[in-house]
Amino acid sequence: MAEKMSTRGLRVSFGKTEAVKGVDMEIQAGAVTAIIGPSGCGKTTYLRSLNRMHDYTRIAKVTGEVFLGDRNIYDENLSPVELRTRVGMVFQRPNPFPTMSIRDNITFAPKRHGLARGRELEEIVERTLVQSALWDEVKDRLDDPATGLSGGQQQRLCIARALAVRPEVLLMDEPASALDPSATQRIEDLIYELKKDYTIAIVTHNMQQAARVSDYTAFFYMGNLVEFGKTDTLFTNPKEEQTEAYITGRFG
Amino acid sequence: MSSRVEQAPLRLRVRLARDRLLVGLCVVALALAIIPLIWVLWEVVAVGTSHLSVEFFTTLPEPPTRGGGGWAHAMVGSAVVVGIAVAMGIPVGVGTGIYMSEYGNNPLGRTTRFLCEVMAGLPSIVAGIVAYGLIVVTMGRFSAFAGGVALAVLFVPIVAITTQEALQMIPRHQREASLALGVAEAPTTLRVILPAAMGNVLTGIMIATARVAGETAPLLFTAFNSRYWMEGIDQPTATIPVNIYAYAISPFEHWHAQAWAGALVLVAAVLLLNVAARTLWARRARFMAGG
Amino acid sequence: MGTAPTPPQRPPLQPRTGRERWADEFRRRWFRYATGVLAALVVATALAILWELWDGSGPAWSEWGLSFVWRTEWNPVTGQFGALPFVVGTLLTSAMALAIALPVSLGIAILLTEYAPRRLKDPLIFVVELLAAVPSVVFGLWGIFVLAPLVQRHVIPFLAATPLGLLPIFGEPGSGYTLLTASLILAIMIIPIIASLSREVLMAVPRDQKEGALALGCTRWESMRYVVLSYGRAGIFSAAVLGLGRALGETMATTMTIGNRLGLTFDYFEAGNSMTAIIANELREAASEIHVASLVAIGLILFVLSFVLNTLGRLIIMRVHTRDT
Repeated sequence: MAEKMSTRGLRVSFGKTEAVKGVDMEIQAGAVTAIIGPSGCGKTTYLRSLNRMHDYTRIAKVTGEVFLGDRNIYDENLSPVELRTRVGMVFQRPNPFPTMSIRDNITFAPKRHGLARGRELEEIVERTLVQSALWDEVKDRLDDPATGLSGGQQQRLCIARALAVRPEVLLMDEPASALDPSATQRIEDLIYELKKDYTIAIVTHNMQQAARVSDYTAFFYMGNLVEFGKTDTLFTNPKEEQTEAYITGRFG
Repeated sequence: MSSRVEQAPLRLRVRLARDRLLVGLCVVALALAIIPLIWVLWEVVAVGTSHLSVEFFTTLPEPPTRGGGGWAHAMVGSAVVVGIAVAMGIPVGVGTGIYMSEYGNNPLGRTTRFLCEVMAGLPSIVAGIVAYGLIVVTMGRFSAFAGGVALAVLFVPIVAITTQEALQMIPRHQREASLALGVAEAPTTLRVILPAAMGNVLTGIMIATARVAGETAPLLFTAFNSRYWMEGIDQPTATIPVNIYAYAISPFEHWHAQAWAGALVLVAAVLLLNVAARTLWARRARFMAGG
Repeated sequence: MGTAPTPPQRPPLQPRTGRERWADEFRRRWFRYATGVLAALVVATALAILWELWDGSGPAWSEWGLSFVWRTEWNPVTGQFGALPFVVGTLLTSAMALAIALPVSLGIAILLTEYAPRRLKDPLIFVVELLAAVPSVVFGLWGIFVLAPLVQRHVIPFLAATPLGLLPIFGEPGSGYTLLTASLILAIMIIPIIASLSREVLMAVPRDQKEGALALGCTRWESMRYVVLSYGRAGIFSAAVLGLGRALGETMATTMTIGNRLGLTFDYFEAGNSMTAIIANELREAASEIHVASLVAIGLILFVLSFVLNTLGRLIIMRVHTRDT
């Protein structure tokens, strides 16, 4: 078992407030790592630093190192564009491109990056929709607007869209929090399938979800990584008091 | 409120009467605004149609003593001057709006935003003075181009502000969806954000076009006037609004009638643009809500 | 965990050469710079406006200094110029227009936010906004042929017959082209902006505040008077200021109805002049340098006045918004 990504002394601050205060952590390859913690604990901020989304927030400042394989992704000699094709992201609210068809949503990024043309694009559409378990539902209406899909379908389309640039890692920021229970169930099933081929890090506020889908769990509190371990160990036998307090529902 | 309950009925009656009086006054106020509108439109339509003819759209003016003649040259002139303003104004206005919305969290963005607000309130005649001083005096003659520039100065801030507002209505997560895929800023804005905001951007452009198409003051000493077909954008040209003014203050009855006909053409064009812009927007809003 | 399937492997991230990095950065960010150049163009235009107004009016300021503002003479033949009659004409007409338009606009705003049935609301808003879309020159045309005769034959005789006619602002009735006529047209033209701004103010009054008053047994009038108007006072003031700014800069309708008479007057029944009207009438025919400079100087005064009013209005609105949130 090897680590796919890791952070060393990662700090993220917005102006004067520090949201992530020096985190060392590994994300294991081919597994699902859940990041849990109360609101404002820095879990989303941490996740977003793994594909440099903070580049677009003017006041955000990231220090420390984030490794993908053995490369520090904040090294200015590496291309952030290529990084983002390797580390994909799925957001809290389904956000398909509203003016595009289902097909265009998926082909948009591969076209921009010059990854594929013509038939290859069609193959990407089919492959990613099959992977995201959406193919059977939409194969007859690929040219319909993506906004016509249900919330759960939209979120699976967003996953397909992220897969279209052949990432190695998928970051998911509370991907099911805006969905109803049955759509949530399908996303969780999908995560289970996807971890065979991808490394996944998922932020969730739902501890049952973390317990169900993840192999490893990290508990964040006040910008610090309090505890990290195998999910079953962390939930049944937490080492830290704060972890225990949180998972037994005494705060947060 | 009075603590003496026995007085309440009388007081209450007074209070309720005053409440009804308020409604009455408000209705009167609305009437005071709508009556002039209807009156103006009625005069324009009634007097204007009676002097409108095919000739009015196809021929050049005749000397006032002769009668007849048309404003074809002014219609072409208006189209060209407004066309110049729109052609220059759309890229600058939309581009500025994009900058203010997407990248404007810095001194340049804040300065631009402030100046757009200021320029949106600029007395239109000031735009004319500036184009006169910078272009007419420099070139040594009145020109359609100078008129177009003066109108563009009025056009750009409106479009920039509406574009900015339209883009800001697109949620942040739409941008992130594209940026997280490693897509650069240009395609993210031009292919994801701008299309989503297109309805409102177009509405802004159409309303701004309608606004400058009716402007007269900035053209008085830039595009000036002419009795002939326009000979080039570096030459003075007639426009509908300036012609309305010139004909209205002339001493000739026949010209007064033509001023009304011209007003009808102008009002029809401007209101049509406004109504089209608003229905476009309403359709769009319904579509978004339904989808 | 030995059975965990291996994820798709891509070759490790390769460092870019300096040149590739530069190209990447450019591809990623060129759009920001391109639109930034357009934004800078807007800033440059604003500077050009200021420079042109300042530079073009230079001779007038160096001839008379600030006293240009309160000199009353205007004589192209002798080359004597002063702005006061025009400043006064503009202020008188705009103030009267505001005095008429403000209560009317408030009435419209109250009607539309509080009383109008839902079905009528949008069409009514649309109609009031349509008023703002009618070009100024069309109002001017209507002013010349409909309103001015009406003012001459009916409005002025009527006002002169009432006790109002004794006010020092009303003198001997004369023609239909008067400060009063221009004021009436301006009032009509600024109603839409004041009404729509006040409507926003009234809509911003928190519902619980209004309902709180109604629940106490207040009538709508009372809730309006004590809660809504006091809550929205600053916002309504800014609407009035912005409306005034609009009236100041209005050109064609004023020029066509105000009478264009040279000389200082404070009499609403008399023909007068305004800053915009004198520029519209004389700039294209002004022959001497000092004449042009004096007109541009009036343009500069106009710009400064409207700038101050607009900025003041916006500042108040911004203050109100930050207080609300």
